[in-house]
Amino acid sequence: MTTVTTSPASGPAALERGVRTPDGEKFIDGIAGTSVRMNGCSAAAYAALYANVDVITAYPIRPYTAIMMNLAQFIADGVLDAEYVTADGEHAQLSAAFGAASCGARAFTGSSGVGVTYAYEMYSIISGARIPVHMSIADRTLDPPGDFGSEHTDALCTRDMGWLLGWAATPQEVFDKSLIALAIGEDPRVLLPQMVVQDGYFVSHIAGKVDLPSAAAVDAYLPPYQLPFALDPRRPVSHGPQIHPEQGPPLQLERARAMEDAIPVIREKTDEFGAAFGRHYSHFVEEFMLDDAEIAIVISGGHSVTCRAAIMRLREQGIKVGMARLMWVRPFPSEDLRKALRGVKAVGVVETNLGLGGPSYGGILAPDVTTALYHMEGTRPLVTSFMAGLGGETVPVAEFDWMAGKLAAAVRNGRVEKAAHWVGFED
Amino acid sequence: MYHELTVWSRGIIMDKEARDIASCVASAARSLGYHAENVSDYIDDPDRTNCLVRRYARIGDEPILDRFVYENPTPDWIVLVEETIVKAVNFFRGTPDGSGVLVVNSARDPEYLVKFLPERMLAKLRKLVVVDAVDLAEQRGRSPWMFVRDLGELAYDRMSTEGASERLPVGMGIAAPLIGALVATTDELPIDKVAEVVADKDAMFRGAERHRVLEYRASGAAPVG
Amino acid sequence: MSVRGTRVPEHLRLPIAGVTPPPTEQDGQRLFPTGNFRFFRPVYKDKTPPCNNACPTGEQIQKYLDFVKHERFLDGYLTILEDNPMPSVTGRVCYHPCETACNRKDHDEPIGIRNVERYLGDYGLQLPENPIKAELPELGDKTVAIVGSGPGGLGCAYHLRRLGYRSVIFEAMSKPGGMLRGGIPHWHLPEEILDAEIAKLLDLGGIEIRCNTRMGEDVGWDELRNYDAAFLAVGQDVGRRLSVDGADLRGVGGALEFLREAGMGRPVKAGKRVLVIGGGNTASDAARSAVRIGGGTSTIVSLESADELLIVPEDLEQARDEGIEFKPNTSVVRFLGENGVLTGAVLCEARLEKDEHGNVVPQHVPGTEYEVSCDSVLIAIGQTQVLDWLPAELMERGLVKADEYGRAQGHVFVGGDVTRGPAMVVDALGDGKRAARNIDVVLRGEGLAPPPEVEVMPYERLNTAYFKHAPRIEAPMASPAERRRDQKVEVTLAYSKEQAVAESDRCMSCGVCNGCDNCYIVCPDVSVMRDTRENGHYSIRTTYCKGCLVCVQECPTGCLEKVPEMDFDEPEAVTRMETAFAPYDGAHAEQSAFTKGLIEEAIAASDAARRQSVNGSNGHAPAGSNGSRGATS
Repeated sequence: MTTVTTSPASGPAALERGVRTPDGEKFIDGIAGTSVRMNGCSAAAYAALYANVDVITAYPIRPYTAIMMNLAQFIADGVLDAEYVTADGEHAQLSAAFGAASCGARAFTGSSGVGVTYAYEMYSIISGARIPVHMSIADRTLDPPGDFGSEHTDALCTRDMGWLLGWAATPQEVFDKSLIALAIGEDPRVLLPQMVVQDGYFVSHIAGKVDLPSAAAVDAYLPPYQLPFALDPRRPVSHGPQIHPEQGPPLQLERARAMEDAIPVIREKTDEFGAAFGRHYSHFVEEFMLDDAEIAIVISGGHSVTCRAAIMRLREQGIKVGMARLMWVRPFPSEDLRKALRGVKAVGVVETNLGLGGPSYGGILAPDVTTALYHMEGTRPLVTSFMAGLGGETVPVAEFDWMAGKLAAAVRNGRVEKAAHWVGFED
Repeated sequence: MYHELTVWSRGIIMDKEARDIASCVASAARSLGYHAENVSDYIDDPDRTNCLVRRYARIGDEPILDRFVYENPTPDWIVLVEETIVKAVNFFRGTPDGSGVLVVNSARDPEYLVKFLPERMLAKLRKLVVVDAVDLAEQRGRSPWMFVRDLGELAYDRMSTEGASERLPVGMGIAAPLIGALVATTDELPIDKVAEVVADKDAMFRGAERHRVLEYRASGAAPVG
Repeated sequence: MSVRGTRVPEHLRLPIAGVTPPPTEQDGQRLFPTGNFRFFRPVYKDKTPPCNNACPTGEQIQKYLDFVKHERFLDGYLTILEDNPMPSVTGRVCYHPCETACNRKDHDEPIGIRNVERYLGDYGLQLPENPIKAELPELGDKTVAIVGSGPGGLGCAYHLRRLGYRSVIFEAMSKPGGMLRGGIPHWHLPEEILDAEIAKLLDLGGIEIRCNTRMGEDVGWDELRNYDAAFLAVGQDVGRRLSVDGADLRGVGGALEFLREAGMGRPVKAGKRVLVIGGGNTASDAARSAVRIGGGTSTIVSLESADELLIVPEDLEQARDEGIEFKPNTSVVRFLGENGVLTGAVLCEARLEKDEHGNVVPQHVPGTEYEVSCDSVLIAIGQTQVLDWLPAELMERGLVKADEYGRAQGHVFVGGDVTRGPAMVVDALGDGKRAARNIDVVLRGEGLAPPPEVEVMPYERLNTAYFKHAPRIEAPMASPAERRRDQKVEVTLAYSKEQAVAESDRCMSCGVCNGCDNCYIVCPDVSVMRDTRENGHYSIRTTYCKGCLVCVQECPTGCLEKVPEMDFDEPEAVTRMETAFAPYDGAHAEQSAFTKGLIEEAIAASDAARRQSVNGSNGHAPAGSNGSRGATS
């Protein structure tokens, strides 16, 4: 656990570089440089261990529970020295993480499904205060149907609350993205909370290979958490008093700016991560076989793995299909998406979320994608919404084949058949 | 004809008085066929004991277009329900030069009160009207802080600061003489007509008769707007 | 597609929601100076405690009790010396009007002020050097004549010395002290204490006492008037005679004369069965001295009933403890004797009546006469003075006339018993102080003015909830048997240090700030400023105090008062808000500069760290490491 050190009376409280326990050093030394098969929950917990978080606030809910279980085990084993706070609900869980991070502690929290929405009040408060809390979410469909499986609606509900929000598709990506998100969010140019999301079960509970780095490499990439305006009795500030009415509008403008200003830092930190660890991620949009594509799937999260497999097969059949995967949903990569989809004639957005009564009568993402593409120069692609992977169920390859068919038909017809297709319920 | 009335008062303990003054002026104007609007300052609510609160009325012969701008941008009638507000705030913010009619509830001389106004506020002042409303009002309570109400009544009454219905008559206590002094010295609304909407008519007429006026500059000496 | 290019006016900028810098002790938080909530302002207004007001010398009793409470004895002693030169004397003999006036009597029991005063006085006598000596002004060229070296004369000389004047005191007796020596028995005021206090006084320099110098014989009125000013404090040391048959018998004498002989250390006799005629303190002192000297019994014969006796209560109680007998409502018809020597007296029942001038007219009850035997009679029915050396126009009914300033004529002032009749030592000391100050005024050529009106703090205005009931600590006493053994055995003994401190701690500091910190603690708005914990060193941060008056309500001493805010017309004490929420446009944004600064420092530090780490690995700074924040206005 990092410790707050006595700083000169005039300066802000400085946080010393995290000091790991001797057992923790030994443990990480033992796994550094190896590849370990672990599921997404473990990967998130390992990322927290490497990041040497100070305060963990927990409340159980499947499927993310395993993240907290792993962290609790690390603490019990003496591998991680962190405050582990069991809250009385997700609202308190987020509040405690907020408080801890406000005091200068690297705070780690997480949730799933209705747990994410129960904490809703806190999201705007935390981002408005510019406190870079880290939240690890394993998606779960909201109730009903009470399924444990993934649907992105839980995290997407918070998309406009001023948090950095992105999905990881594999356990390795969970590990990497957690560190990248911390590096971005804690950067003094950004100071925003982050949600790193993985699909429940599909990523959280299915093991994959994770390459584990040395502690020194992570330390070099992720500097110690330092909040410039931390609450510190030696240098008191007050957070969050009511402000002058006239200052409400400009404050909201500043918050909008903060999301925009994060964009170059996301690029920079993604590149730095690639340079340091050898795994190079796209900044915002992973482009898969898009160079000559006529039709494209826009997707986010774990189903992209199946999507990639489906595209390879369709390509073998001569269908010019590609995939654009959103690495971040907030800030939304409008510019990068336009670039990636230039020349594509029809785009289908795989939703895995519910946007009930929304503009497409489909999902949440399609209107965002459509808005971004509306401002494209030249010919704009057609856009439709594919309602798939809902209620906790998966999106099999066959459904991607079906979607490709619909997109190809749209290109042929010069128009989409529907604004939203409910995959599996139509011919 | 167009006037903006801003009534400054103290939260909780003298909130009703301010509300009554604004609402009586607005409803009297409305009954005379004018267009009128009467709003609380949403920002001041929920009010705190002693803090500055404002209540507004706007009256005119044209329809009032900006219905949701609650803070009067150019108030020319200003009532201070409590005298120390004289030194507390720039109640002439936005007032056109030389047009401000200032009505203060005080037992002191206008000459004493005017000393507190800095140059930039004196530039706005047309006349200062001082009415000893506490003396002229019907005394009903015991606490000098509550003026004419007891804490028990206040507890009911306070609910209406956020829009609940009034439990007490409108235009009572120190509000009544202050309305009287305002109406008498602005000479825009006929006092008998105003009396119809004021609960304590006697105290209102006492205020209309018994006040002291310091004519700081001749009426209309400075152009409005 | 972007918010870039949108401008926020500087006065509305706020980069982080509501992060504001800390309020400072000096300025509070400047964002929202809530002083304008206030219609009453708390004001520290020290009043006069009743003890202080009742003391003729104006001793600042509350102040020295507070010092003693904190064991600051030297400060306490110096405080007394500002008003009273001889606390060891008054600490023993004063009839303590202060304690009579003490508000604590309405709470439980009055403070034992005299005992604390005595503690401080004796503390002062132990000091190797009089601590005020170094602070005295240079002596000037003016000299004041003082007649009488009793408490009035000595007090006047002392205060004149503090003001830089010389004085010459004419004393008829062989030793200085006046009634302190000649009227107050040793068991009440030990001779060595009196001597030490007088020595301390003379050590200040500039004071000359000429003993055995009687007015009218050795010095005349005209000679007195050669001085720059004069103060007459000759007292009343001549006992009134009782005109009944047998008053000239041997064995009948004056109580005052008896006490004076004893006080001067000359041999005196008292019989085995002593009658003391009179109902006042002199009668009591004489009766009690007589049993010590003669070893017999004393009976106080008084016209006054038991309830009317003019003896102070504690003396009366002590007299009873010592076996003094009382015959109240009794008058002397005549004294009986054989061969010119007293053998007894005829007494009768009587009651006290007075004529229209206030003179005592005994009313005998006929047929109640009876005889008692006795071998000594001491008359204590009043006192007077021989003043035939004074111009007749200065006299009235045996006293020296004076105006409201104690002035008899020109630069001649008068004080003590000779101007008002028998009174307390502390009255004479107070007259001396007043005369010295008034002499200073007239010698500087200024006009005399009455002292300023004072506001005396009543018990009702204290917040008595703060004062735990605690019994008065009584001074220890010698046992009655021990007292009767010798007239040098002191009756009332001294407080220990612990007792003096504990008794002083009972003081409620009526109306005077004693730095208790209560206001500082209870203020919900951090608007009571405390520079030190010394008395009176608080101030109200008027730009921020909301006027909730919790401090006034909770002030134990009542020194804090509410004053209407509109009574204060200084413009800077309240910040006029430009809007209902800010003292000026942009106030909020000004505070945000603080946060902006913190963030910019952090960005600079992070950039520097990253540059260093990149340089360390490959010698190339990464592009855009310091400039990629994106557009900001």
